[in-house]
Amino acid sequence: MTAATTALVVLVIVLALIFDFTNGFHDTANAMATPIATGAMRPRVAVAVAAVLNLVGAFLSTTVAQTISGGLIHEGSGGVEIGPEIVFAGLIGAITWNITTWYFGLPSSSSHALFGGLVGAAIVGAGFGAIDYGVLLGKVIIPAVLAPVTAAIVAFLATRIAYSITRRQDGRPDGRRVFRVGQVFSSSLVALGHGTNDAQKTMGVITLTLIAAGLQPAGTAPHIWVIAACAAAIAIGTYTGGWRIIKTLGTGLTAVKPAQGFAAEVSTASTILASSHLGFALSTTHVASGSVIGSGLGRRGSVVRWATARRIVTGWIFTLPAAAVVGAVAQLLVGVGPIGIIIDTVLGVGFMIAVFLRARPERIDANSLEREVAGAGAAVHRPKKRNRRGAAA
Amino acid sequence: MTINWIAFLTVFLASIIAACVVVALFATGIRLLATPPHGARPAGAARDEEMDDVEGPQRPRRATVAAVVLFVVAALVALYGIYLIIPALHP
Repeated sequence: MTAATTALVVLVIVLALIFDFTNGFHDTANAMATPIATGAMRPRVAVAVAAVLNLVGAFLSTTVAQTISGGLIHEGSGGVEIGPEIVFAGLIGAITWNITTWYFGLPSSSSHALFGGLVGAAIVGAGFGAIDYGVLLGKVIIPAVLAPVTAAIVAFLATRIAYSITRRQDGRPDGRRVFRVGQVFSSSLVALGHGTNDAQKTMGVITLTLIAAGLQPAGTAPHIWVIAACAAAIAIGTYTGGWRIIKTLGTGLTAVKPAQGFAAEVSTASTILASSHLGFALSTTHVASGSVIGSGLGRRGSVVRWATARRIVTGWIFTLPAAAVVGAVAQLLVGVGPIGIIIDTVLGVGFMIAVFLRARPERIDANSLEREVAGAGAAVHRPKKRNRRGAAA
Repeated sequence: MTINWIAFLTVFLASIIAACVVVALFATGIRLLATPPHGARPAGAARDEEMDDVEGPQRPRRATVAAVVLFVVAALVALYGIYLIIPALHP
């Protein structure tokens, strides 16, 4: 193996870990937006819990996929050889899109971004015939429509149940604040489920790249350092917290209350667990967003801001094509030779830095969110002696 | 490739049942914790509050015990969920 190939494999591993980081960073919101919004957990505590559970989850489930693209691209004999170059270009596309949607505070599926990047790179590398459009429709597009609708229906029913059971007709306290205790557990379950699902994806990318480069025998399990690195990357990403997305999901779609938040989280956890166990893959992000909307529709007197929902759905529609375009451009440059790969890397890193710098003036972080939650809490509930602690927190 | 609608419907129904059962168990537990003391009078008209605490220790003992039982059952369902997502536990 030449030094250039080795350098490329190392570059792919680094990019895969950066992608894993943005994956965690993006998806903290799926588990923790609602408990942060109701004050069930303070923001810093919530992201720490999610990070630990993602780390644990990554070690619990390490079966990697047989193919990088999940059948989306004709791989292997008679198809495209997805070598390190295509994976490299695909990852550039995926990371670029994840950073972009983070900047706009949009929850979006990291798997779709990765698929998009790979599809774009593969089309440039091997033509439109490289893509299996049936799989694209059946495994990516239709599930993306079904996931939020399913979760919304589940969460709507669960929210109705939570409120009708706890509704008191005699005007005495109904105890709904106690749902905040339940939220700690329900959101933790979502975070654990996320760790078992998502860290695997990056382990798969790295392992299959190592196999393609002849550094690991085909069909073997990921190396322990790959597992550890992926677990660490997703956990650090989760802990860093995509606060912009947490804000959108926790307060942008609807004002989440404890009983409603609990119902939404249980719905997300049930749907994710059922989907990964019964073999119909649904994106955590699509499910979590659907649950929040469904729970908002289920609670009396709550308002769903459809403008925000439309923005999010628009982001979902663009995820695959946008990542594909960036992946395709990156792959075009790769075709130029090693200098193209260097240009890609410089542009990719430059883009990341530029977006972070642009985001700085309007920084959203744990402190600003905590102030917002405390402000909303104080305005909504009539503080009693026992409740003041929560309002001041 | 066609959509596996049977798998989707299975996921859909399983999600509904699991979510509704857990939420109903937990909500019933909270309802029991909010049981007023013996002989308490209504405090007014029905209202929908979000941040009400439960009334405290004056509630009947049976209500507390039943609530704890329901919370434990809800937790067991969640543990079953965790069992399902760890492949090592069911080869």
